[in-house]
Amino acid sequence: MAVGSFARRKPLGFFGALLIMASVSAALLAPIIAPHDPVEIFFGKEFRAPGGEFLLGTDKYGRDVLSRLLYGARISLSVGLASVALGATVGSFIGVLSGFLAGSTFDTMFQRLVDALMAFPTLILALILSVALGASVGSVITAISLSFAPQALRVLRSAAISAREAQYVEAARAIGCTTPRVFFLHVLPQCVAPYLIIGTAMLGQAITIESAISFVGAGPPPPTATWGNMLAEAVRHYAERAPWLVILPGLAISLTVYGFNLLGDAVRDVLDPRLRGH
Amino acid sequence: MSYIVRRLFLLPVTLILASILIFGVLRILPGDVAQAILSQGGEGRYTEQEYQALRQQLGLDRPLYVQYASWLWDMVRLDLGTSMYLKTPVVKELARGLPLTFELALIAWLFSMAIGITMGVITAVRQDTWVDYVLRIVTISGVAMPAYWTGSLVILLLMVAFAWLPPVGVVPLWQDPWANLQQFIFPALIIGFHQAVIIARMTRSTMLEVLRQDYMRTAWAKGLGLVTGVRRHALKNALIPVVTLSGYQFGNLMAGALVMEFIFTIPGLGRTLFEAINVRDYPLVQALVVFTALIFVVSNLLVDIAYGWLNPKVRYR
Repeated sequence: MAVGSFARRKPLGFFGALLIMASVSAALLAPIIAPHDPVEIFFGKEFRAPGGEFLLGTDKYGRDVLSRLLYGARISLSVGLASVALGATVGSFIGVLSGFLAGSTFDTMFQRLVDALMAFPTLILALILSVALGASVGSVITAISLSFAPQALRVLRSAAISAREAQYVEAARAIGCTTPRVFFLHVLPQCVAPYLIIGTAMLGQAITIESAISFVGAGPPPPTATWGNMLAEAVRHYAERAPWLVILPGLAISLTVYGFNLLGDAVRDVLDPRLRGH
Repeated sequence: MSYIVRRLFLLPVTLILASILIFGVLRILPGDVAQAILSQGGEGRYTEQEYQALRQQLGLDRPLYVQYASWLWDMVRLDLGTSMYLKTPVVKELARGLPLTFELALIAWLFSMAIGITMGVITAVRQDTWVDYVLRIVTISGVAMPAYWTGSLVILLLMVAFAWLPPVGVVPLWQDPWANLQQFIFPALIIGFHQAVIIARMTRSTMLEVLRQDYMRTAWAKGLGLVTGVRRHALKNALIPVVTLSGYQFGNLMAGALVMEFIFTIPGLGRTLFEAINVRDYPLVQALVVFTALIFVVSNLLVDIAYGWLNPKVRYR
């Protein structure tokens, strides 16, 4: 099966996929396996160390850390996946069109727009947009996708331009293929590989940016549990007293991003034509 | 040459588009700065008349394009306006915070180059040895771990092991360089480390490519020692793409510095920016963001020019 051969050829990527599946299952099964309600306050049980009644301890308000981590996974993963799906897809499609119509007004217009958007570091752009649109999951998704779209646009544009120069495209035109046919049948399929590569590469970045946005307070407000939120509270107020509150959310973020990065690297190794025949 | 001229020409166009973007984004927010001022953080109450009067006073009731034009005209004359919320000139806020953020970003950048290039060269030269594997694990974890988490862990360690507390103010550089550097060294190291791993990965791959070249084989055949051979021949060629990558990363470095200031309580632009965004302080946010964009775009341009100068193929054309 394809999975088996992928596991054998790219063990690191497979390991990454396993990490991702762990996170995804945690997110999907959170309502079932979380021992407590993530926002439920247990009076008199604040700052419990991990172990015993609360497997990973409690926080300042006596909320169960394990449950909060599980529910936080839902937000981090949904934001990460949704924003990359949205941003990479929209950016890529416009990019391919732009590359196919290189030199036209459509292309020049979007090029200037991309330049303007890329004048801001990704984090700052995402931050401003998510503050602008209000502190909620939806606005963070929109913000991050808008920050990633220009990158995708640029990469796919150059992919489309080089696909356009291929000899078979010239031949297709010579035998009278209509332009839409050339676009959909010849140019677009060549752009799928770069799309998948940057898509998977962006996933890890998206989760990092999402947690950074929550960390500075521009994400879903408390008592909603996001990994970035939890880290921010822990760092700002009581790192010394409850080190597990600092270590655990950060560990969750790191492992998930690590998994996505590994998978992204493996996908790129498999799909990148420059590395083929190695 | 004409390439640079074209880029210089595009610079103001890009900046104007960026400024329109920022202007537009801020204005579509619900709630505005007049509201924030009057409600004093949500505690005061105000009448509709007071609200409208303040809006008029701040010029918020004019049509959007008029507001934009007047703001742009002020910018061109280098009049950055007054912070609506803090009632102080924007320039003052900039002057207060920018040197700190810039210093942090600069030190971090130097660290990232030093650490990154060293790690990259070592992993390339000692490929597939245990040194390589250890360093690769380090680089991979550096990429996945969020910088503010590493920062938090370092603070945790300092607090637990050395009973250290984050200082409140910052000693300016010219007043007491040593104390100043002491405060900046940890956050700069952390940001620098996280950027360094990206540079290390790039250095490793370019170095590996260069080491396979025929002229390197000649060098080793001549009897050149490892260090001399690498230093004299391999390094210069391998470093060209790395230096340009590092230059482009400066923008991300500044963004990282903004977040790191939170944790290490450095009163730079980071805190100013976030607070300003939250209260919709238009002049402050616009000026800060356009300024950041300016730094970003100019540094990219400088990198492009530096690349043209560094790469002998381009220089001696």
